[in-house]
Amino acid sequence: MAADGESAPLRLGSGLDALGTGRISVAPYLSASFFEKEKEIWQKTWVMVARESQFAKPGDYLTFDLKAVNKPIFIVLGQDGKLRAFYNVCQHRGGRLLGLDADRMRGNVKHISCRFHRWSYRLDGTLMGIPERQLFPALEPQRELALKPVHLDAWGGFVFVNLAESPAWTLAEYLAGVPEGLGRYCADSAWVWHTGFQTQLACNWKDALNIQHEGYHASALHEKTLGLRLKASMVPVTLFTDSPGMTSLSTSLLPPEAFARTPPAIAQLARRCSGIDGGKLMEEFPGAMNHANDEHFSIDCLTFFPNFMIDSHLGYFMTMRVWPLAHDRAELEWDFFFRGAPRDFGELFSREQVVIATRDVLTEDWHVIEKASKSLGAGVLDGVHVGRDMEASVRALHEKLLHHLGLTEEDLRNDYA
Amino acid sequence: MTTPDFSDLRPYVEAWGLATSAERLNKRCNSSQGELKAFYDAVAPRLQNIIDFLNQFPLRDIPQEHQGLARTALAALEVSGPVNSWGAPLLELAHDPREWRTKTHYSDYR
Repeated sequence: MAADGESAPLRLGSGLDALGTGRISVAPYLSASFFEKEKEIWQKTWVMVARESQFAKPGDYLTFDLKAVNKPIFIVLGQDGKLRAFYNVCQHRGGRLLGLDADRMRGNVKHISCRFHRWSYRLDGTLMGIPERQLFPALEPQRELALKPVHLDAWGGFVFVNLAESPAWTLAEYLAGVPEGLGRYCADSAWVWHTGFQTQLACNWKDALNIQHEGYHASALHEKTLGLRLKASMVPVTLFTDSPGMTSLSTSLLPPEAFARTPPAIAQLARRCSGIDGGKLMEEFPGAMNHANDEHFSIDCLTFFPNFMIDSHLGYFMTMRVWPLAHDRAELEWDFFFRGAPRDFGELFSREQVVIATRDVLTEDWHVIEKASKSLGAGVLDGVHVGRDMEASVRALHEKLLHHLGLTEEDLRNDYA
Repeated sequence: MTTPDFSDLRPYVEAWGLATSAERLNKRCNSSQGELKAFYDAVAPRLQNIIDFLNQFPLRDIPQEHQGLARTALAALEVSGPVNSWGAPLLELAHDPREWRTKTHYSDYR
């Protein structure tokens, strides 16, 4: 970071030299005991859970469980316009406060009232009332009875929570290295959630991230869908080795020679109908993407530790979240954001093309990683080879994880083999 | 405004003018490659005309009688992969996307 809190301009391809070489151990992707150890990262990192735009009026709330560590949480917008997160647990006898069934996972409340004995709390988490108060003569001061808060902050319109009592980093510190312009771009009020997919996969959660942020597989696996012939120079990878929370930026540049065949006419038609003026967007949001200012810029794929990824294209972006369920099971969410409601049918057509084409590529990704997870799980290999450059983000995630856990490759071999 | 003549597409609009992306995907997966190709070859050359025509209406005000045409154009996108790229209704060695859940909100946790 430069002085005065200003970020140094992003230099594509930086950070690669800090990476290790040699095989990486497979334990983090297969081992149930490692999965137990790994749970501590969910207690100390900043985890993206929602968009700020999901909370419009005071009392708008969202509940969820951080499944990896089984923590029930809710987020609510206060009367003061402040977004707060709390454990979804009544201070009385632990009743679940909000989201008691599938229809109530989000909504709007005037205050928070426990269904069990109707202890109630204000939207800022302070205790409001206890029925038959005299039953509790020894109650501690009101302050002690407030809902247990969870740290919450936002970047780029995304809401992050941190379960640590006292987080080691502010969110801004955690995201050191994230392109400054990207935050302003993603936070822009024009973005509208369009659609999303959710499914479960029989693999480790990191497998799901790894296939999205490495470009090495694309030419082989997506031969029929993407029809690309990528060289390493077309997928420059930037690593944030000193950042607690930023893992990698994998940029795709698609010059004409990147295409093994001409994209179908219908895809080109959809592109012409998109209403996206890429040049104007880059002018409006300098530093948001295309950091090499390359005319063939296509995608910036940015990975936030531990489980969040933004795929930023000119005029739209997609996000992926992966939720660990077990060492060999993960839940995935893939979502699409476009700028504003489509103004005409052509724009709708263009967006549908993006969704369908992306979906079909993902069907290949998610199939192949389940197969790889299973064959890797046969125990034939105790380490795997990870390439430099266009595959480096895989090693970067591995090393970031070990760093947060205070482990070394040797520890993996000794304790989790 | 005059309505261009799309009457030759009527059988395809009847078959493919399905209201949701999920229904169109389902139709694609349940069709033979020959059916997909016949549909695509009939509609693809007309897409620019269809879009130009429908773009004259605000998106929310596309008249009911043209909704099927709009959905048919979207169905052509669903069929493009099988016809243009991989030669079968479903990709081999891939997940079946019909098994995924389509979300209702960005954070619709369960």
